[in-house]
Amino acid sequence: MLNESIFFSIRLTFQVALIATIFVTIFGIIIGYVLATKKFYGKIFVDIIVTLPLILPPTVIGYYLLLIFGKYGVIGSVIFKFTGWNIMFTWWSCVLASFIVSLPLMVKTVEAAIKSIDKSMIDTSYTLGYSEIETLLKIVLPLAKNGIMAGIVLAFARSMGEFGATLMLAGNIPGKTNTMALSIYSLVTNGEWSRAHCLVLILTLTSALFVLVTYKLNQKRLASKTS
Amino acid sequence: MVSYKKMHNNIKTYGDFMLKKTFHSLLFFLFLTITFFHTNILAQEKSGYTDKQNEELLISAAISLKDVMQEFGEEFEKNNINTKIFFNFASSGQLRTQIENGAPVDVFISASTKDMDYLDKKKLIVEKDGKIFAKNKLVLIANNRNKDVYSLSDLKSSAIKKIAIGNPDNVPAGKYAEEALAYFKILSGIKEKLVFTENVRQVLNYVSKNEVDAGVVFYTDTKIDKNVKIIFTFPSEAHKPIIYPIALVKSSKNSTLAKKFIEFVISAQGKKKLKSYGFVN
Repeated sequence: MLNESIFFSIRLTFQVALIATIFVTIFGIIIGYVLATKKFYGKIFVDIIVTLPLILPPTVIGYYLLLIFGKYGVIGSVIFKFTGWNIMFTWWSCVLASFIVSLPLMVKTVEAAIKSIDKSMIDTSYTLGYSEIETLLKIVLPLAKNGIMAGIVLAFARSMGEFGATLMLAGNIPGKTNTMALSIYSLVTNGEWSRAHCLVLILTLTSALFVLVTYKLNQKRLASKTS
Repeated sequence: MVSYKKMHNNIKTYGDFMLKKTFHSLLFFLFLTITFFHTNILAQEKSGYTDKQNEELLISAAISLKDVMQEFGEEFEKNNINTKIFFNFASSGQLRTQIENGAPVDVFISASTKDMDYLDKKKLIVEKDGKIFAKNKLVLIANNRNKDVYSLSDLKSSAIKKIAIGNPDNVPAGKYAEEALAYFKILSGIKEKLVFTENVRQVLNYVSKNEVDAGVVFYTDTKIDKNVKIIFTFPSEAHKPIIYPIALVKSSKNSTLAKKFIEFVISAQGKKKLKSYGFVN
């Protein structure tokens, strides 16, 4: 029964990280682009809110997410009223927690990448008649490619390692919401070190791999100088 | 996005080649992840619906019941085909908070009446009375190799620096420990030495690994760890009765199966199993 739980943990962690990263990529690129290129009233507040999860203790993030998405929360209670479903204690809450903590990583990376693009490229595109969306898709994003990929890798890695907020939102239900990080916590606190070894090894190796890939991508970015 | 064909054909520099390689490996990894796990994503969704093929129960049980409950679960699954029992082990206080916040739990088993009564007041459980199915004893333990603790009063000596008990706020074993230590008028003298843990098994773990000099756990916990010895068994007058109530959670979506499980636990067969693990009756 317990070995099943370990395999489930591994599978769940990758599943959560993958889905969270997809959402982070979409929203991260949009928000990063807006923050890098637009000026508007209240921009600094948007920047602060998006960056906060990077610095706040995970328990504070968990607190806010509970307040908003809990069964009696601001949004959670509304969803529950109309569908009878609540995100808490389901694996989707792991995705939500991972999404919130990985988003700032993606936004910051994309913002930096877009800001470092030669402005004349974008201006030229406009003078040649391309709309903003076309410019974004055909000029800006390809030039920011390295930054975006680095952001994706960082987001995936961070999603895999999310613990605090996940514990508060998803509980640590074996077979349902126990990601690797959560499993290691309960295994170690219960003295089951040998079972924890395996999970720790996998997480360490994958994280090291991610650091390596990010390093290579950053080297590429510095070398090419166009993004 | 730059067309793939162009990228493939215009590899003019080593840098381009490396980028293509990295991009390919990321794509491959993504592909692997998706194909390997997509079936499981679907599987997750399925288990959320009442599938006649596989009925599930989520049982939140006090962590001191971990070993005996897992045996109960395995036997129940064998006797009832197409059922799957999930256990959620933690301190009774944490489990109570989860249920309060809407956790999709079917059965709640706590190590004290306090948490069960709390949920009963909030009308979150069904029929809590009469389903007290086990009792336990409180013991003071130390690591087998510990040469400084031989009696309760040794706790006051300077050789004993750290004593682990559960957090009295959410761990029943911690509350009982506080009561028992106060009963013997030792609590105030050792307050600075106390280390609070999040559940009773963590106390056991700390003593087992010699991270602390002594700890207070349930008698049944000592039976599963060979590295600890019992220094003193607290008499039952020293604390509130250690009794385990079991109840159906009102919001359960599988109450028929849940009731079946409860019946199994409180049956004569169940009592025998509990006795073998050291739970007094």
